[in-house]
Amino acid sequence: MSHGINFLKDDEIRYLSAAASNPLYKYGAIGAVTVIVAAVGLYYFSLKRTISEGERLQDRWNAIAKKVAEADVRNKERNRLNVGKDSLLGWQASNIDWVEVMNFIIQQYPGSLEDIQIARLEMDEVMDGLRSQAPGGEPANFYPMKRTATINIRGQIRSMRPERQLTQFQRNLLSGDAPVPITEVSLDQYTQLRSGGEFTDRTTFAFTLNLSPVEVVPPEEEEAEEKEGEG
Amino acid sequence: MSFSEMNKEQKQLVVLAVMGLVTAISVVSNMIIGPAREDAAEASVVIKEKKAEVATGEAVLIRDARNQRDIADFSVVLKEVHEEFLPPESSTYIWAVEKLSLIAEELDMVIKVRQHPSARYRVTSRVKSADLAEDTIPMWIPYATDVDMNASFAKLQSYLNLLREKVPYASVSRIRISAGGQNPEEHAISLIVEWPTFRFPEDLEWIQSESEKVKE
Repeated sequence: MSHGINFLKDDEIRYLSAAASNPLYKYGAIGAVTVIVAAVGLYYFSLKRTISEGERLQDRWNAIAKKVAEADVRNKERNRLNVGKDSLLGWQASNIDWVEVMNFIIQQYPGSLEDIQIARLEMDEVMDGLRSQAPGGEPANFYPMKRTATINIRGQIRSMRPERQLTQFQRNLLSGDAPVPITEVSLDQYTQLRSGGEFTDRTTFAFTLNLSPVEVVPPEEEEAEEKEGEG
Repeated sequence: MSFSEMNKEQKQLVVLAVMGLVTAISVVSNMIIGPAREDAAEASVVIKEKKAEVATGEAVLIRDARNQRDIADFSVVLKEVHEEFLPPESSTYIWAVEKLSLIAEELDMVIKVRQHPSARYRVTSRVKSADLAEDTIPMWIPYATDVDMNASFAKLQSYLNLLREKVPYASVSRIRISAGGQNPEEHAISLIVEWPTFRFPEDLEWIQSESEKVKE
């Protein structure tokens, strides 16, 4: 530090001290201030961007909220209607052709048709989704509904080897090309009839057949086109 | 030059500059950045909540035009099928008797048609109510009739084939064939024939009004 009398003027003193100091300090200071100002500015503008994005979204939502609520209701109505339409068209398409099923069953008997007599034939179909679903709060799987059918056959055959005939009948029913696939065939009972203590060639039997569930859905587009072509 | 080498005026300038800087930072922080940060925090919550909502909403709006067309198209299909093939809301039993008897007459058969005594579906209110979640309920319920006849197996087959052909929306949901007593050719046969009908009459009214819009 100088102890001499300073005859320099104020602006000369500032000039000389500025000239004496390392210019890097000044650049550093200016740089630091610039960086701070830039960082603060960028931060501020990023905040402004967030704010304006929030405002834009809020305004957009306010503008469309009512229409969206209405469209949402319409969307649900459309989906319900679509399910209803498909169920209705499927109702027809999924009808089980009982004539074909009955003919199929009869044709699967391994012996002569004169040797089998059907005493009782019951075909029962349940529409799953209509009967077993409780309407109300819990989501119910009513689409696609399913037709589940069970067939009971009681009758009599004429054969000296009823076991062989009945088991072959059962195998044929399971392996044959049924109009509706048969998932299970159970021989519920068979009794070879006796006369005077001797077995006769008559045997009563009872079968239960479970058919594969048929979904209540409209026919595939290709099938529909084929039908149109045939028509 | 270090701080100690500066003269008084220079030191004052430096201190003033530092104080000015601190004041400026404080002012900028409290008057501009602070409120902006609060607003941005609120905006972030709004963005988080609304971004997906707006995107979904816009998608719903885009789909809405197609939905409106679908509703009109589906309503026309349902109305046409209902008018041509399904039992009417009133006089349902007479309608069913007529359809089933005409087929029997064509085959020279005698049949007896009765309304099925119990509902073959899970019963709920016939009227839509607010506490009923509609999407858990099928639109359709079956209208069921019992058909009794004495016929040969061949006649039964002809009846079922004609039924399928002429009343395509009728489903035979039960067939019971018992061997005939006196005449071995004739069997006691009972059928349940079902048609889909609207569970809620309001659905039919709505479909009718929607399909009318297409004509307009």
